[in-house]
Parts: sequence; structure tokens; C-alpha cells
Amino acid sequence: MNPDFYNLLELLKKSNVDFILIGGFAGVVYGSTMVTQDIDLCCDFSKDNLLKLQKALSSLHPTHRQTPKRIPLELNENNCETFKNLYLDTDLGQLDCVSSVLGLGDYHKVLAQSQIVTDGNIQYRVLTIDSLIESKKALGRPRDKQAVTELEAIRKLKNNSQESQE
Amino acid sequence: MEDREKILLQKYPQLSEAKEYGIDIVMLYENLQRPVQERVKRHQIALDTYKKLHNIAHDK
Repeated sequence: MNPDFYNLLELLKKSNVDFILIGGFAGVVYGSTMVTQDIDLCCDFSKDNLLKLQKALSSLHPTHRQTPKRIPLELNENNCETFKNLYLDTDLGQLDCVSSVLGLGDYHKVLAQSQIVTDGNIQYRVLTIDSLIESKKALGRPRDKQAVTELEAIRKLKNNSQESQE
Repeated sequence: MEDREKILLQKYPQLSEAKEYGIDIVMLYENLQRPVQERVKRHQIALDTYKKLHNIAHDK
């Protein structure tokens, strides 16, 4: 597996999967220098959206990462509603899809706390930096504390820059 | 302390907490001057390097 997060996100966008980028890679978008080994998304876990996700990932040999036998991802009309989270390995990297974010709420709440960013030829939704900080604080792991410190520095610089322009 | 670091801290004292935590504020500041696409590209390079080193270390 050779992680390629840009192409993974592009594939999901082209397949019209509804998602919001959260986690470490959202931090990268904002300028974080921390390296992350996976993509975390908050997704709409409706049947329609999960079936779009299945279709988008089908060429990437997705498997459930946390199952001993690496069971292939096989979402269908009958089993979609049983999932609340998906922790996957794909040919383009590790992909974690969650239906809610600790400290923020479900997909619709997270959607309200997101903004669109442009990354090359694609646009996608990312958690706002304020909400990203809140979600990292809610997790509270040592790595998250480092991320919070860095993101708060980014926010301060961003606010400083905006004040200078006013 | 590196000169560039000193200059940054003089201009942006709000970075002192990040500096004390051990974050490379020069690298952070430089990254913030780049567009999103460039940040993502650089992250990919860093991740590829990490993976290569990880594989080398595990092959030994």
C-alpha cells in the first residue's frame, strides 16, 4: 500500500461521496507540519452515501482493517445500516470513516462546522480550524495535545494576518 | 536559538507557547505561506520518506 491521500480524496469527490475531512490531514490542510498516516473523514452514513462510498472504493481493494482476516468491504442495500464507523485499508492508504465526531456531534452538526477548501483541482469540505481544535481536545491523547498546540499557533497567526488586513 | 526563530518570536510572540512545546515554528510559519496544494504535496513527500525509512528499519 502506497498512501496517496490527494488521489483518494479526489476519487471520493468524483463519486459524489458526502464527507468532511477531519483529523490529522485536516490539520495538514491548515498548515500543520505533523505527518499523518491515515485520512479521517466524517461521512453521512445514509444508505445512499455508503453505497456511493462502496462504488468509489471498489477499485482500491478496501478491507476492514480491524478484522483479523481483513474482510473485504462489501456494503450493500441490506447491511449499510449496521455500520456506524468504517476503519479501512485501501490501495491508496488507510481511511477511517466515522458517523460522528467526539466533542462535536453527528454528521449534520459536523457539516455545520465545516468549510470548503480548494486543493489543486478539487474542492472538499474540512472541519473549521476552531472545531478541529475542539475535536482534538476531546480526544486528549498526547499526540492530540501536540496537534492542538500547533493548530492554536496556526489560528493565532491566521487571526493576526486577518487583523493586519483590516 | 536560531536567528529566524528569534525574528519570528519578536514579530509573533503568540508563537512562544508552540516553541516551548517543541514545535518547529520556522517550519510551521513557512508552511503557512504555501497554498493548500503545496502543503498536501509536501506532506505526501514526508509520508513517503517515513514509509521508506520504516521499511528499511523493519527489513534489518
